[in-house]
Amino acid sequence: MKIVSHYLQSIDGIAIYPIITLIIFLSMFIAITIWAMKISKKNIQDMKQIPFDDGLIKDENPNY
Amino acid sequence: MEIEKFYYDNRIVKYFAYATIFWGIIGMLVGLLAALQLVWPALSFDLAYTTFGRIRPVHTNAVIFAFVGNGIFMGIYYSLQRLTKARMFSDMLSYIHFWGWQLIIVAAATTLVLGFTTSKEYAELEWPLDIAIAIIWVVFGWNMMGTIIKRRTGHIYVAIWFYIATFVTVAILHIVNSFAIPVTFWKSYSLYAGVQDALVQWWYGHNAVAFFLTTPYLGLMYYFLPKAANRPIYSYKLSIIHFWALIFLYIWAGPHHLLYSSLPDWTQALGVIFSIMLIAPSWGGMLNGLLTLRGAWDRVREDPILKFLVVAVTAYGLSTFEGPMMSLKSVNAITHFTDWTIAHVHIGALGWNGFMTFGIIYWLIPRIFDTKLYSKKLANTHFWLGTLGILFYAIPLYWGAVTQALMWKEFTADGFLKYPNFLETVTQIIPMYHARILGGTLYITGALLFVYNIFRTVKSGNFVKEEAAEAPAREKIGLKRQQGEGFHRWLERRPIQFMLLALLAILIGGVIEVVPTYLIKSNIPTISSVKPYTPLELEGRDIYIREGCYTCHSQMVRPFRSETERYGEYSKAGEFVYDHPFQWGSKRTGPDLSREGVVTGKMYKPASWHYNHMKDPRLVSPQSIMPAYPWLLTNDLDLSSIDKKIRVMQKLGVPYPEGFVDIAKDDLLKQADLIVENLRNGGVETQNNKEIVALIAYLHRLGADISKK
Ligand code: HEC
Repeated sequence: MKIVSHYLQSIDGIAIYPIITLIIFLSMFIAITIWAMKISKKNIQDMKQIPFDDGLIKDENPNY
Repeated sequence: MEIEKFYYDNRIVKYFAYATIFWGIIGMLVGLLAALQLVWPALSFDLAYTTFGRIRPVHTNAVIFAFVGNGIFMGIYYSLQRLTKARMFSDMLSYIHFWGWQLIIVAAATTLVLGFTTSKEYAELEWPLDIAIAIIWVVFGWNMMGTIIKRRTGHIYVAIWFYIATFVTVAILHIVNSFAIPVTFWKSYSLYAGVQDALVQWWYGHNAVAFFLTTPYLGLMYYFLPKAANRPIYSYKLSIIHFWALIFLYIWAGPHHLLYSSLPDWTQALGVIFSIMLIAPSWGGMLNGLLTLRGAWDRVREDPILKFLVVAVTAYGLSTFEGPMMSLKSVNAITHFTDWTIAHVHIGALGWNGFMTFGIIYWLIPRIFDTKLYSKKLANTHFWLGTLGILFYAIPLYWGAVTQALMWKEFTADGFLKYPNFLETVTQIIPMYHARILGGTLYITGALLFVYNIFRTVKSGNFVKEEAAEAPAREKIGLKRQQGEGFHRWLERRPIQFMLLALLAILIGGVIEVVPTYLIKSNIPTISSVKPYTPLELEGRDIYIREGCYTCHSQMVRPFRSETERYGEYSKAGEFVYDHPFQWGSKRTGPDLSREGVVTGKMYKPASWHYNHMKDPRLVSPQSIMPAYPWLLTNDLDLSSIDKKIRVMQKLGVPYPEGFVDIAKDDLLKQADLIVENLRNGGVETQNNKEIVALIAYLHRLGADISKK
């Protein structure tokens, strides 16, 4: 077994890899930012409140 | 809608909390021992099991995987149940996870002390334990994903995204970095060699920091900070952007750990750009945490829990700013191999992870024990001791690091190194090591108060093993996107798709970094004089690995005049092609050793010098802080697996001639006889089957190949 690398040894233009990631990353970043901005205020408020609603039954867990 | 009643499992939370506290104290004490050994080498006790080279990995592994690891699980098991309004998917999986993890920790500590190590930092455990970790990790992930799938809530809260990303990424990192071929049950050789091995290792090392010490704790922050402050997170939109940017970018920034070493320029430059970009999403998280407390600062002054959380988040901000700075070439040229790195990681470990953990436990234990914290005052004292501890730890080390780095680089007017004796630069900063011990002691004292406080709290309460809750069953809205439902909203409803997308995000970054590392072999110019190690040298190398010499010695001469003057020719990528695993090291407590075997070089020492030096370094280097290794002089070399070792090396592509296995042992003894003879001429009597002989053979091989071009 001579490690996978041998198959890949002679690939030219390796610099294309980082350039591709940069492009993918930037477009993803922009897309997610736009989506995030479009979420309605009400939804955002609901989501923020999630940690405060854990459905505990007050009588059975007196301290809360 | 039908209301369902169910119970949160607090017992598993309690278990993990106790384990966190227990291993936290152990990990810190072992760290303190290591710090003491760096001032008083006698505290290595001349015993193999307790030398610095083995103690230091026990410390790092204990803190990362036992303290922080259990802390992660504690926080996740508590918050996940409540955020999903569901009990954990399977109690059985919960407890397999718990006991499995503790068993691994015990086995890890034991094997590391016994010298079973791969020598890859934060991945030192040998292959059987690697497999066990993978299995238990999957148990954890299965339990978590199961819980998320059977949740009673619609939306999946941001904390959980961080948990999911942690699970998938750590799994991948662990598996990719652990590829090795076993020689025996406790010995294996890395599948990768030299530059490639280093790249994979630091891709792992960097991301272990990101995805074990950072993302899960950010998740915990997004839950426990709002809970403790009793106010929602500042910006939920920011958390979405922050999350995706962070997981994507982090995976990228691996190569900056190896700046200036023998990497192609373009990998170096890219790593730097990305690690600078990393500041943005990291600070997004920090600001989100701190701004959550806006308008509540009066409460922060009163409440020790909030104080812990605030300092934790600030420490996170500091180290994520400092990290990218350290990846700048000019900064790195100073900080690399020095105590700067140690100070940097302790801002993270003591500040971010430690304080976050303390804050969470102070908040959580009274709740699951249905009581109040025993003493707020004691918790405040703990806070101040801890904060002082961090300052006393880090500031002297930063100072010492710069001092030493400048001494390494200083030339006299005539163009000679001002401090040609490496040891001089060590003794100069010993006072800083004393201060570090003080800092660590303060921090641990605080932690002991914490243990007492928690103990009294537990005693005063009644444990709520099962916490009753109720919630409507989740609406079945189907898999398709609803009208008006944004993509991200839809995605959050679908945990498996979410996991896959997170996986994709890290894979893009990961593949793009790892593929070149596979390609890298072709980028490495071969050096024809570089030959495989002889069997004796290979055995010596394995002793070097076993004793953890890499924790203090680098094997990487950077292309600076100050280094080539001191050590010799700078390192070339082609020198390491047979190094399974690589031994570049990350810290120079002692000098670089990669030119130790260049007979005409500055570093060369005769065999008898090495013999005496290993017996007790202070015989030949008074004031040395290197531990003594007397057992190497008396231990017989274990030759039982040399055949197997050669065969594994051949499988890995190391060009030993065919049939070499059959003559390996003879070859070994022949070379050993020469060294024994050589030692005798230097006035030292020994036999050809002692470990020291193999180690000397290895040390004399370092750099020898390229010097005889
Ligand atoms: C606690 C850190 C530490 C550990 C662990 C350690 N060393 Fe050292 N080593 C030093 C220091 C400091 C020096 C410089 C002072 C001296 O010569 O002892 C040194 C010096 C050396 C030198 C002399 C270098 C020269 O040419 O001047 C050699 C060789 C060496 N160490 C080999 C080893 C080997 C082999 C191991 C593992 C078995 C090891 N060291 C483990 C700290 C360490």
